[in-house]
Amino acid sequence: MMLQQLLNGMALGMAYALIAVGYTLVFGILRLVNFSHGAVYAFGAHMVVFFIGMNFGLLPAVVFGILLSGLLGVLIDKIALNPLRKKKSPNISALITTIGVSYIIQNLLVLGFGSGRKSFPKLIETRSIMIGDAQITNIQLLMLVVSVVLFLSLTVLVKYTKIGLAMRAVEQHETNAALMGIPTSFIISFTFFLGGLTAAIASVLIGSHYEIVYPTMGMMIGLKAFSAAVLGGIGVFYGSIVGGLLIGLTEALAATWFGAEYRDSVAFIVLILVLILRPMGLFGKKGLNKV
Amino acid sequence: MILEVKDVYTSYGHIHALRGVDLVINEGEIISLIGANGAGKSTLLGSIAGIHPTRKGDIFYNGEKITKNRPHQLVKKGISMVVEGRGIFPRLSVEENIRIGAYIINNRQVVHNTMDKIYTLFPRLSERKHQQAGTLSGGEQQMLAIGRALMSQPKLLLLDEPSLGLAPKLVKIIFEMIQTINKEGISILLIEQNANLALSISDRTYVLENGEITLSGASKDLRHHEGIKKAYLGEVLDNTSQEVIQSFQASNL
Repeated sequence: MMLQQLLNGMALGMAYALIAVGYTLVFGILRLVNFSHGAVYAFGAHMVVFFIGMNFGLLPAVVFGILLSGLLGVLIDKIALNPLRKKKSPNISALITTIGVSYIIQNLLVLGFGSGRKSFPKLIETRSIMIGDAQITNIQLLMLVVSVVLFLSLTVLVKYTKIGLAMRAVEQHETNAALMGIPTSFIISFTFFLGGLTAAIASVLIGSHYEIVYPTMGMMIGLKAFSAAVLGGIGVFYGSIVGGLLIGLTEALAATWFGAEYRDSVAFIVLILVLILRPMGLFGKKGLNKV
Repeated sequence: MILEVKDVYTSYGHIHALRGVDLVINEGEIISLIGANGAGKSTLLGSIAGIHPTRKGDIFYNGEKITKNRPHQLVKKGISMVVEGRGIFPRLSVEENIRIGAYIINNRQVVHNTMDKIYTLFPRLSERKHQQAGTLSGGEQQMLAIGRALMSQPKLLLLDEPSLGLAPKLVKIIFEMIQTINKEGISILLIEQNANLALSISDRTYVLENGEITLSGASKDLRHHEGIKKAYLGEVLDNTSQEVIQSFQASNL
């Protein structure tokens, strides 16, 4: 029973971690909490459903859905956020804008697809795997594997590639990065593209686990993933994984010990406690001042 | 003529930082720009490098109009700038800082060779390449900033107060470096607070006051200019600085 809860918590936690990494990516570069992330997540799942409805076949539908979500990320930045940056408006305006954008996307999804729940196709035939007397589905395992692969690739990208180096330079000082010959707008767009991609990958995996999608599906999970990112130290990749796992596990355990109705609040209680003790999150770094 | 600034106006909001500036840099020259704080020196460099868009006037680089170019496009064309306060990335390693200077160069071999050259020029940086750049001393950071700016293989180097906050000995090293770089065929536009130093290292000097060029000419002539002497050469110098200046004056005759 305990093992079962741990497994459930882990699978759920990896899902949070997958979404959390999108918050961390954008925050890491722009110091901006992108609250439209949850809506992009919902958008991704709906696009996959849409393309399947258009008889694209499962795999192309998934690929197109994910790519379109990446482009939506870029579009959000270009239309709503870039003009604010150009006017050097305070970060709080950009933050409020992302909340607004999030509702616009959700409403558009309601307009296009209706507000009800739609069934999401199974990516693979569900099978249960027994570990002792606990069971885990192959989709949950897939979630785990994809998350780990995604984290590793993002870490390699940011740490060891030229574009990753450029991303870190833009994070530290945009103007100085431009003076190095870095096309900073492109780097920022690329970051939003990656953010959109990861959101959609998460929603495809989670959608096929629960087998339903709906326009507001990204609200609660987006908030929890954001908590996971903050818990681990926003801006730090592995922080997102640990934060996601912690929130997933506490939720699963809280559901068994106190009953399922308390699961949401327990996640946030953990967040608040950690932040009281470590305001920068578990692995967050205190901002090193510019020299 | 590698650079021509023609009647340039730049403003921040309601403040007119530059009011009709004309300036010319010929290939291979070291030009210094002197003037009081707030005269608009940094703004002029920023306008050339594309970070402070001009309101009026034009800037030409090798005859091509570059007024509306973005900073990263100008780096590609061969203009590299070291900002005041060095502008290094403190949380990247020394080597990463240098590597990012070569962002526009796609040939790995070229990057590798240029990096070797920078390390030969500044052995200190090679010793510290895995250290976080923010932990370097002021002088080392200045070396890093200049070395990094050379990674893009510029034809024109803009230096905003490279001597700022450095001990006289380090100033000497940095200024000798600037001469070495210049001898390799890189034209240099230099902002320098210390007018003596500025006049001794450069071929020509421009004096900027309240956003306007009030005086310009060959540096060796300006050294004897009464107005310059009165306004900028009054300060008492310590021995090392004097030594530095004399050695430059001797080599520039």
